[in-house]
Amino acid sequence: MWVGLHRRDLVAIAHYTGLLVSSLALAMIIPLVTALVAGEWGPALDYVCGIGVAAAVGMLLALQAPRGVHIGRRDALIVTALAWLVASFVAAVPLSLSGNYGSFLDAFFDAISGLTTSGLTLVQDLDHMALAHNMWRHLTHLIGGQGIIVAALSVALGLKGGAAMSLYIAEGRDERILPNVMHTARFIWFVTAVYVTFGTLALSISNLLHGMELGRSVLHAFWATAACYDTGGFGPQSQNALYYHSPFFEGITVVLMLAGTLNFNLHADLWRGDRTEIFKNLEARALAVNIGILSLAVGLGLAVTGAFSEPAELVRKGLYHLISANSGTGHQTIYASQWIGGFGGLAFGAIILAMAFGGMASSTAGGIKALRLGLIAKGVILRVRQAISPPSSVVTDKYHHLLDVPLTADVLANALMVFTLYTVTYISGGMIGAAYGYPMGEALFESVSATANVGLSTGITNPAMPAGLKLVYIVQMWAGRLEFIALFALVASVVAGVRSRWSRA
Amino acid sequence: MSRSLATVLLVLAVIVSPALAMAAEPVYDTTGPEIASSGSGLDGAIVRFEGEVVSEPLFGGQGHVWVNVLSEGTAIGVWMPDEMTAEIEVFGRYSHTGDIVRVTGRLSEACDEHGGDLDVHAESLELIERGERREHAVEWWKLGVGLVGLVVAYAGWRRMRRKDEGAEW
Repeated sequence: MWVGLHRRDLVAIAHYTGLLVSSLALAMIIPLVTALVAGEWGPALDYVCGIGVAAAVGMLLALQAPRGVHIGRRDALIVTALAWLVASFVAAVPLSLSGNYGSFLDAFFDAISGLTTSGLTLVQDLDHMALAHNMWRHLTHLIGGQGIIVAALSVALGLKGGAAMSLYIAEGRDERILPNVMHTARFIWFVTAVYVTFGTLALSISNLLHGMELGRSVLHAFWATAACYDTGGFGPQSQNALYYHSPFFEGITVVLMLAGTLNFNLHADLWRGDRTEIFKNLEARALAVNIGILSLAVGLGLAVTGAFSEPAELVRKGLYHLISANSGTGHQTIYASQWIGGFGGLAFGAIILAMAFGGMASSTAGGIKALRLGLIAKGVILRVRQAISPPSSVVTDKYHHLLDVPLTADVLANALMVFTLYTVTYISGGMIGAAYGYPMGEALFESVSATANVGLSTGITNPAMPAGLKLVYIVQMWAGRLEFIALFALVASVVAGVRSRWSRA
Repeated sequence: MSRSLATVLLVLAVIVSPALAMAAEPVYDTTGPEIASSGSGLDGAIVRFEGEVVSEPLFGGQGHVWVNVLSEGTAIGVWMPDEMTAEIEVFGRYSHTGDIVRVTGRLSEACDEHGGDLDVHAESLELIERGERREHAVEWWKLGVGLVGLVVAYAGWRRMRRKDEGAEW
């Protein structure tokens, strides 16, 4: 039954959306400090303005209901869907004031791309961008990668008890690493802090050895770490990862990308010293098989095109971009046009599939996710076994994902539903891109990259692209990050509300 | 005497011939976007393009550095001997517009020496225009908007606290 929203639902939704948006005002203090330290006075004012807007919008929304107001499952889904939009709106304010964006829409595109850890960008003149704005762009990856709800929970911003749990689940999280949701959120940030520290340290050394100044070394290292561990894809230079011309840089970032695509439950097991889970976990196995098969396809494809004559080049370019695609990061060491000119054919197709499949559930990665692919593969095998077994026999199966779980029709239906929704969105976005006049292959690549929150680009995504297509990719990035259900809950509630108003009239 | 002359001529031929070969090769004037298009048909050719040096020089090994040259919105990695950078003083970033240079060098769409990267190995570099400091206007109205927002947020927070204490909801 479709039930419209009552006033008490609306005020609760406004209250929690406001609290989440307020947390962005706190986060903007970091780029403000960066600007002040670097003597970037203009950008410092951009962040004073941004903090004011985020705090005012957040508090006016939060004021609509008392702290700790009850929120149900449906309303939590709506808060999650709305929070990503409203947060992107306020995150776009300082970016739009930077002078590096052609319009507010372009800044909003980058803000939602950053928060959803997509990495597609419409920035202009990136090589002259202020340090403060680069800091903010990369921080959006860090905030969005862990999840806006997790970010807010970690600082205990008025989210407690049942409301905290409802919002946490609504954000698509299913890990219960620790009994208390707040402690789980803090554990997620603890794991992130460990990787960010390791990555920043290693890449700082790499940058220093490459001749960068100390300050820039550390900043570039932190940004690259945030972009890779959170599977984002932004970079502070227009050449992205190619800027560094460094196999060492590429090696460290591959480790960070793989760490970012690991399920937080597996991180917890590794942290506790349990290494057996990763070997028997269906999702880890599915991801390993996925990367293995697609690596072969990329290698074969590149060998056929002959774009890279030396085997070492083929491995370096092929593997880097495959891991970048599969993990949903989107860092690239080639120019956009080389996807067609260099990769072409089989390797190009394998990269599209890698983006579409994505990393692990409950990680910072996007896409369909390895767990669902593993479940679907097991489901197919189960059906074949049932088909060739005697009619009287009962053939069942189970899978291991943290626990041994029976492979039921419900589990399979859920995996297939998400698989279908992603696939339909990938193809629809590709067709819309083609309708705008782009070649179908490139349009499909870009559509998959947006929906799976990857960020690799064939060059379609640029400031001069049609505004309509920018909006399509914004919706795709948003829907892909929410894995559709929260978005559908929002749309259904709005439709139900409109229908009930009409019927009363 | 004739043997000495022959030796000198041979040595000269060895030294000069690559330069002559280079001189004989055509030089193609191009731009960053064309170089990065991978459809220029210039792979392996000597190219010449102009642009702004940005960010910083990065060690490139073998007495070379990487300098990134921003040409018509596309930055190209240029590998050049250390001594060639002597002319460069200002690298472009937020605070500065970098030196404008003209680079002549060999384009590789997948350089075997550098792991398949698209790059240009510079053979000469010419300074066209010295870089300069960029002026950024400080727009004070943004401070006003920010302060008004913070006052509104503070008033809202106070109101929420008062309502919580009085349970007026």
